[in-house]
Amino acid sequence: MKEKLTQFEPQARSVARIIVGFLVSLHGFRNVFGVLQSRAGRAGAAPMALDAIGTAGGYIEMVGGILFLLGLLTIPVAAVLCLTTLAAYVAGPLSQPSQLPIRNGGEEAVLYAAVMVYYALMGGGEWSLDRFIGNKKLAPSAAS
Amino acid sequence: MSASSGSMAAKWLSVFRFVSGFLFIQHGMEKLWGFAGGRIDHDLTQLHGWAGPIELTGGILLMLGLFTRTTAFILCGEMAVAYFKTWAPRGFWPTVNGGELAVLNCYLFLWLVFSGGGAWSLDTFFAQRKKPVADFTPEGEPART
Repeated sequence: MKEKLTQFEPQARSVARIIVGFLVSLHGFRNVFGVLQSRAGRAGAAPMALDAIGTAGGYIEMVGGILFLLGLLTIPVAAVLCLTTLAAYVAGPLSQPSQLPIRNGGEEAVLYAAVMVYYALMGGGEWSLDRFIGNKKLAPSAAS
Repeated sequence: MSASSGSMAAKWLSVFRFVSGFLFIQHGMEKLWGFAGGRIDHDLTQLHGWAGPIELTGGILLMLGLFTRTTAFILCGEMAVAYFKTWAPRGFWPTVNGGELAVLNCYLFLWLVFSGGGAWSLDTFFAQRKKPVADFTPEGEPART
């Protein structure tokens, strides 16, 4: 059973990659265009880290998030987004009174940064444009 | 392409699993005894009251890397239930309705079901301990290690 599950880890990694890319790009849209402002959340929560990096960071999040969602240039994009989310953690939550990510708004940033390192090491997974293009390059005449 | 058991990616998978569990137990601790000023809610007659115990236990198991796939599956389901019950009614977009963390955790735990605990986990430790017994010499005796 475990071997069967591990066999499909690249696919699961792709699904998670799509969601992560989508969520990061939403933060980017919020920073750049000011849309989708947070209306609900935990009472008394500190502002989220990923909203603290301004418009320049917002462009990186937006473009990077969409590329990550598509699985294009996954490894460099993952590296860039990892550094971006770490920068967001430094910019926002570190100046909050609490050191706990759960209190200073940095919890998502920590999770994004941690998972991005894995994608930078392992790639985007099976369902990604990187794989699609790679497959076409390697075997253009193979039926798939 | 999967991470082989000793590679850097397999080790980082364990680091990520540990960090994820470490953040998650804090949510459970918030609900059970108001850790970090959270709202206490362990009313076991209600569905949402079960979130605290599930999060604390599941997070600890994730940190240890014990029964990783099962735990991750249960926590993924818990996050899905939490999202649709609590956050989705407040708006469509996860970043608007406050449920971003729930969605993120749900899909990351789903991935953990398939990826397993990684190199530094009790699951891997116990699996490797079992292996030598299976190596039998042709005469049928267990191999001496």
